[in-house]
Amino acid sequence: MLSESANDLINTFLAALQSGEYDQALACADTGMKHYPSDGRFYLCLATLLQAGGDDKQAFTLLWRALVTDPGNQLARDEIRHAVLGDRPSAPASTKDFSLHSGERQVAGCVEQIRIDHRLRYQMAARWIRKKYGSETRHKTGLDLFSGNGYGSSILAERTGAKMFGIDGSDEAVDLAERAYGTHRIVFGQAIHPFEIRFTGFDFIVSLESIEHVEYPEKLLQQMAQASDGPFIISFPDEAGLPFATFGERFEHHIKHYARDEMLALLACVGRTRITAEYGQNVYRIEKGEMTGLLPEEEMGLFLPDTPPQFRIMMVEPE
Amino acid sequence: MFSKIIISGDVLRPFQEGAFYTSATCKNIRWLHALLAPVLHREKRPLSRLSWDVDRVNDAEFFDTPALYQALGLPLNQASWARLAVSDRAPEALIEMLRAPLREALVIGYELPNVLINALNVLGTPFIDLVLNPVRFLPDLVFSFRTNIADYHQLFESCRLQPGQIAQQLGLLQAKNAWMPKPGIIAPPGSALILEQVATDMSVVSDDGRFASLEDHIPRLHDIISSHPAVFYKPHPYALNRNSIARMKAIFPVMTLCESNIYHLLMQPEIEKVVALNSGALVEAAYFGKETENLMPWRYRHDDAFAPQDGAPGALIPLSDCWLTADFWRDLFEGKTHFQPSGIWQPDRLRRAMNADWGFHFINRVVV
Repeated sequence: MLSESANDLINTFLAALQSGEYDQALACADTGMKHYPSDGRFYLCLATLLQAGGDDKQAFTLLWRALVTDPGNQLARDEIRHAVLGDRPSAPASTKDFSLHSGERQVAGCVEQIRIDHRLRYQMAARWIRKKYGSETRHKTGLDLFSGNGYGSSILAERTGAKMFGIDGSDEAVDLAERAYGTHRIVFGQAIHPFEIRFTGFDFIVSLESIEHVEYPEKLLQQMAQASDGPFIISFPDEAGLPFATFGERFEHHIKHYARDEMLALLACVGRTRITAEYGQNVYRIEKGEMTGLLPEEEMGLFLPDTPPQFRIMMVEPE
Repeated sequence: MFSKIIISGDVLRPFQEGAFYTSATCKNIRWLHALLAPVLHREKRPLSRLSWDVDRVNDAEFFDTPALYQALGLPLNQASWARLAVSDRAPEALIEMLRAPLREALVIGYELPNVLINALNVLGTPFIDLVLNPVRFLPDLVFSFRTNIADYHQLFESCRLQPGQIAQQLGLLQAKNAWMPKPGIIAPPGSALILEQVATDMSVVSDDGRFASLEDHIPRLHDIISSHPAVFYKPHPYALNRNSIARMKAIFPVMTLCESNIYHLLMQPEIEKVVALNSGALVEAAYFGKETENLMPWRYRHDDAFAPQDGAPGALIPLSDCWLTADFWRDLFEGKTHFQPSGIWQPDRLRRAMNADWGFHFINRVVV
């Protein structure tokens, strides 16, 4: 039976840390985890030491463990965000409208209310990830880039069993995501592109309907390549099926649409040339060259793109 | 070897009813006696019971458990029972209380604890012990038999329940599951299931005589919950005290309480791991292809094959319902070492007689 209380051990840890006695600090954290396993603070303590020692991946794992006994632990959630994104940036560097209702994002607070074409893309991504990793998926942590209100991260977590971290530029969207979809295995953070992803140990990255929104696609892909050695799943409006010159004005927040070859070239610049799966999707009804509305839901399913699709999804694996 | 047959069980085990303790096992003993009386009738040896049973037929059948605890200087309660039950060395007072009633007897017991088995060994009493087999999704309940008589052990071995019978039943259940709606839980692939046990069950008595609980394993449970996307906590349907559920949820708020039928849960591919303290459901879960983790050493193993030795019983051998026939007991007592079961398994006889089915009724309905 340990005579020291959890608070005693925490105080001893902090004192040891301040005075640079790292061995003693480590012993405190280890003792705390062993005797007070439901006290998440000890995982934070140990994660701090590991980060200081350069073991970011193990530190990251411990931060998530702190959420098991207290999923709403803001310190742990903030530390996870900090591990991924570093210090929070100050004011946005652009004049872009990052509000939740800017029209750029889905806003529903539950998955079932998200438009089906969006859900189908994430569901396909989840199926692919699950098929790739099988029963090991539960040990993986994925990154959902431009996660919006978080529904996609939720779909991925629920359908694959992986942990998910979502990044979006909108504070409002991230707040909604945390409230609606945040769990002990799903955390969201805010960052405005071009951002730097500090954590390099993500097992896979999903970035759907995002790259067409950014000015510097090569920077986004570079960050992705830095953040993960694993596969990317990206989707984008296909220039062949949805020419930007013709339909761009219908997409207020899009900067450009991409031809398949263009995207392949961008991916090649970050050393990714292996496309192991590809799907197409049509969402809009186009009649006589005019966009007249949405297709019926049953026509929005993903297909093998032997004809130019409006949207293309690529599974890009490392060499 | 014996001139009479006595049906008995864990006569030491108390059950708390309000401020008082009564026998926890007298009904098991009555049940076994009632089942065996017709099939042993032909044997023409007197058949009786030995039980701490206030509804006993006569005083000769009464085992005075309170007097034993008093003689041992122990309070009559479940904590005392737990320490006694797992002891490998029977106290003298117990041996002496058994000596006269068991003279020249064959004991057929219902889940005899270690301490009673040791007492029988000291007394040189032949015995057969029936232990409920953990696989409870078969056409009927199965009991595993163990004995300290070599010939009996050999006969049991000759009619051991075959793995193919379990596989066939499993196939039927999985086929039915194809038509069943999913249980009302959201289970990501890789989910885990933690099963609660009855707090004072024999299965959770540790080797040092304490009642183990899931709360003894918080660090390991933390590991498990950290590495599975969802963890479901299923209370035991017979657990009377729900305080433990509240305590576990307070420690691990991310666990989801789930009262869906155990077999319905085991048939979900998303649930990949099952964790418990010595629950028979862990054995069943393995048949459903789940990874299982027992947080304490097994109390019983039903897959061993060692023979009796030096008065100690051999391994537990699962039998189908062949032991419900007079022919089985006739052959056994005649010293035969082989018995051929009929191969026809009448469903649910033991379930109905036991008035319990451990959740099997849910999936056994024609339409779920």
